[in-house]
Amino acid sequence: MAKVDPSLRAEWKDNPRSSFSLIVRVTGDVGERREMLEDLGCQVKRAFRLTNSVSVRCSGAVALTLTRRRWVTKVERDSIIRALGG
Amino acid sequence: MGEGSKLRNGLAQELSSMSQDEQVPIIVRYSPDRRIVRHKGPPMPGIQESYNYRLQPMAHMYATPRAIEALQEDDEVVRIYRDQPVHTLLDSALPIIQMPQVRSLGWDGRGVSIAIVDTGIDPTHPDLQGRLVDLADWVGEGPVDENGHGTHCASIAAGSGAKSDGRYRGVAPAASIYAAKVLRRNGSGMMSDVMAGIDWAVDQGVQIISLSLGGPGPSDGHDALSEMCDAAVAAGVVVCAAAGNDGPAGRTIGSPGASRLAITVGASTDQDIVAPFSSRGPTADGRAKPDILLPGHLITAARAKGTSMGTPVDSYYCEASGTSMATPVAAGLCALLLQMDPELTPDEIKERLITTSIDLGEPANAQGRGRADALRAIQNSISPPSSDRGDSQPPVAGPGLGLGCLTTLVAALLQSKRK
Repeated sequence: MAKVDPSLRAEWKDNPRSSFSLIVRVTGDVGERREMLEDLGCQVKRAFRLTNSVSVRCSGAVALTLTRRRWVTKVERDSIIRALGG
Repeated sequence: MGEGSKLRNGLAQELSSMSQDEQVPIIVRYSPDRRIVRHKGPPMPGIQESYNYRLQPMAHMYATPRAIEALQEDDEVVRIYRDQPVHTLLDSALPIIQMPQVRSLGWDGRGVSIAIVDTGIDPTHPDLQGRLVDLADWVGEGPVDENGHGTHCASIAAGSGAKSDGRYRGVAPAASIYAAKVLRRNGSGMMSDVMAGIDWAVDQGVQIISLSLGGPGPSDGHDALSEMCDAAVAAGVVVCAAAGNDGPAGRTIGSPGASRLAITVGASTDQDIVAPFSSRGPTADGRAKPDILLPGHLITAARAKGTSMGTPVDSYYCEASGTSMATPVAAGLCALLLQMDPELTPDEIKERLITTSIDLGEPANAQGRGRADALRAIQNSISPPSSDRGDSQPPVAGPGLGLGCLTTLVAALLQSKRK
């Protein structure tokens, strides 16, 4: 399975300086990976031990580098969720 | 005229007491492939057609008992519903799923915890007093509900109905409530905030998480939020997720409704049909969803102070529709099942709700296995009400050596077997 949706990767390439909200799935200790993501230039929002994932904000250029890390298994957009009643 | 299998909403009984020239308003559902939704051929005596629905192969008309008998003979007529006034409230929606019968057995969710992961909660609402255990805010606005959606959902699951003399009582009115605010006052938020709310709820040790929220579909269930739901279930927590409001189009189940392990809840109406707005499957990877339906159309429940979500009824209640409203009904039912048998696993609870649901005759990608039924779900249990399991158990119905005595004996035998 691809680490990232091709259309999202294309967005990063087209907008390397723009900021993206992402959810990064990782292997290994999520606390250590959080620090490693910060070292790579990500602004870490939260880490989730239940699913070994970290929500971050970073530029398109930094996002492109994430997918090259072996310990990164998937990167996806941190999407908008809405209430479903009214 | 006997009770034909096509007649619904007490129509057969009503017809038996009507004169032959009297007309009754009905809604006729035709088979999906019928192109012209009306009676074929020349006008049928005793029928006055009034409206053909575009979203569903259905038509509204007035008909005499004899004409309805003739309609039943039409192979392309699937169901004939008695048209009814629309006044779906918690007090009229819940009888559809046989909640009054369940209440009479004493089940009220006591001792079970539900997390409402939503727009926060109004901690001052009279219907929620004494049962709010903890609140958390993940969006930086404070945990108080400034939208109204979270409070409405919380009271559907577990409201006491205190401010309405019990009229708008929720499904599990004695359950404990945790509230995680993950959606802003405008009703939207980020997937990562919802994940944080779920993470927090699991950490708090809640038994049920209710998610009346979602993103656009279709999802294959491998997105971060759906998999967070799966992880919560794997950790022993029941997760109920709304199917979405993008029906009747297919492939509209988004995240987290596409989760493999959550109970995905679609909405039904007072007429016991699938609500047109309720999202349909399949998921992006071809799985049938939702899992079940529950009432979610024009539901009156608690209104958060100072909010105007839905249609305000008075200062304390408002009316709203959506799979958001159906989902906390499911969460409340799960609380009743867990009160009855705390050893039930999330998978067993999901299976029980699914296998005891009522088949409404709709495709699996619209209704799942059908509309869930509280009494049928409870009665399928091997663990009957018992007076010897502490305060969390309701009183046993039946005096002396009757049913109550028998059920107490069976419960004691089962408990000793577990030990």
